[in-house]
Amino acid sequence: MSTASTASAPAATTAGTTNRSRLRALSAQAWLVAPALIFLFIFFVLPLVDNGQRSFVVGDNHWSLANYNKLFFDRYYLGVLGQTIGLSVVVSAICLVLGYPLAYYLVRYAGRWRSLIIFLLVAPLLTSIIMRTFGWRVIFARRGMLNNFLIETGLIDAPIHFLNGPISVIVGLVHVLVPFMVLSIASVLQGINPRLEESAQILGAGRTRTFLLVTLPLSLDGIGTGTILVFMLTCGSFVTLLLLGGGSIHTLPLLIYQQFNTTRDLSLASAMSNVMLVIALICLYIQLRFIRRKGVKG
Amino acid sequence: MTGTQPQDLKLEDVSRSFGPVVALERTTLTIAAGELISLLGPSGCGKTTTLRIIAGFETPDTGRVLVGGRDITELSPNHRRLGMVFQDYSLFPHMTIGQNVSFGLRMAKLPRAEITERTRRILDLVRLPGFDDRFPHQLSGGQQQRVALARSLVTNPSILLLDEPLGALDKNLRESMQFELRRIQQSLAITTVMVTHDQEEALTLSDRIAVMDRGRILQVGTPTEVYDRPRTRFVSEFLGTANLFVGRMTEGANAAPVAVARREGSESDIQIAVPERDRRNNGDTVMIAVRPEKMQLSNNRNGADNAFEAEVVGHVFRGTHRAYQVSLPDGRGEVIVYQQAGSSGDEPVLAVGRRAWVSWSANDSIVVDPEA
Repeated sequence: MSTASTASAPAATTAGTTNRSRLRALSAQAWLVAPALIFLFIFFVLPLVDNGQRSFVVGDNHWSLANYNKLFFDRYYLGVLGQTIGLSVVVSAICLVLGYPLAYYLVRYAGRWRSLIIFLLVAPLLTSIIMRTFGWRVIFARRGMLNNFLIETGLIDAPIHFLNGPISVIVGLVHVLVPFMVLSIASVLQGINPRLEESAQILGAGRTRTFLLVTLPLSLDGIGTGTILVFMLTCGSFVTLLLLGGGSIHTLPLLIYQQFNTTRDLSLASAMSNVMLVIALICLYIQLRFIRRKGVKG
Repeated sequence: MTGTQPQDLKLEDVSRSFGPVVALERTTLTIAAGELISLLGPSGCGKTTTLRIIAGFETPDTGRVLVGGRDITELSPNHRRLGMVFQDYSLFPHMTIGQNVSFGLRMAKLPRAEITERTRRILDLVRLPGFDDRFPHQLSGGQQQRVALARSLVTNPSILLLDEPLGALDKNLRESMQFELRRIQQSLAITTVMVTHDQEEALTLSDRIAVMDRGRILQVGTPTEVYDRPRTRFVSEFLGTANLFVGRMTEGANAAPVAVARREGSESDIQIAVPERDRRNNGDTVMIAVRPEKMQLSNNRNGADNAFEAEVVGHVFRGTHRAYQVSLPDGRGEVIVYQQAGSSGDEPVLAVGRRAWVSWSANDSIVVDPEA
């Protein structure tokens, strides 16, 4: 009896004050998120609105679509947009080809080496991007490690210009972005019951058909997520392109940088960044709309 | 179904270790064509390893696997022509029921008309006609189970492997699926190996049971043999309940074999008559198992071979029977006795504290190996 009375007493007192205390709890919770919200509003929402507005203003407060007209119909800018997307496609594809087998190995065979492999994968992300990029410059330089090696082994006679070309850019980007692909795919592969692959085998499917008919279709979500992630990150990458590309590849982020620093055409830069924003939003839409629909449940 | 001729399955001297852990000691087992054998044991006893060796997912360290006399030890799983049902059904979630069931036929590259026809017939056999276009997640557990069975049988495999096939179903469904499984297995006369830790499932479904523990097969026999004549302590306790007594062999009147033994916890010996076939040398240490339902409780001493006076310590009603816990003559240690529940519930219940006689026939004393 004593436990019952002690339990009911506080229950009765709270019943009367429930609404007020709930309200107070809610406002207390609101205060907890307020700093973050205020920060985001000042440093994210406002600049975004400002940026959007600026992209439509040409010259002296003159509203116009001229910037977008230029971006989508001028051959040069269209080429830059094409290079941005093209580079992203190539880097995503290479990451997928390199990343999928690694993810599969990680999930199915790595065993106790797993954490070590994950650490090695993520390690590039933990080093400063400048350091990492200069590392690649040392390797790719005219008298760098790679050229020296190739000359010494007699594969080439004269050094190749790796640096400041597409190859060094692509290698540099793949190096950083492949972990995103591997981890996206691995997390989905992790959820595929190995018994499904064994079922396919016992029903007469060899390794290739088991992979093509069971494993691959069931891991499409991971492939999608990883590809979109790498695609978006490549679209927006800047330092790697600046330091390893040497002007050989023109992408939107480089052009935006140029507009700010050289041409000082802030209005055009704003329009370009909005185009990038739209690309990112399209990617997010694809991610939300098409991925995790054919659930692997049941 | 135009089934292929049922084939026998032979494990010859098969063993498998994982690092220092011996999952399966050298084992030889022959399964007759058309027979359903259960590998029964607790988790880690080696039953799943055995099944996976037959399936080809594990390579044995020693020994051979033969199907119909043909050595398949080196064959990869996709060339063994086996059917297998996994515990969690393992239906392909991205395929329809029709695509799931026809998977094996498509792998064999059969003509489309034949695939359609055989898929339809096997879905009829498992009583799921017209389910072709649904997806696995739209089906209940029992239906998924039957799809898994259909998928494994549609290719006319020479051997069917079942890994805890009913483990994921609730009790009522499990019982009806037991009959279903048995009906299908017998109508196809397919050689079947079933892995289970559920003794009731093994007793109900099997032609023979192989009881396993710690990587060894302890006993192989029909359900009645294994239940009524367990050879080891483990078998007697894993299948059903056993009252165990430990003592020494002597001879009683007319030189009949008798053990002087005591129950664990008790400090007084009782005389237990054992059947002639269980006679051991005089003075040998023996362990005797007696099933609770073979013991009777009565108010007075009856003419049974074995009897002792005891006191009722407690009892519970179990539907089909009442389980009594009774103490031994010295008041220490207990045995369990099952009394059949009467048809009208008019069976007199022996109250706690009542003195009663526990008795059983010498034939129901089973001498078991205490070490295994």
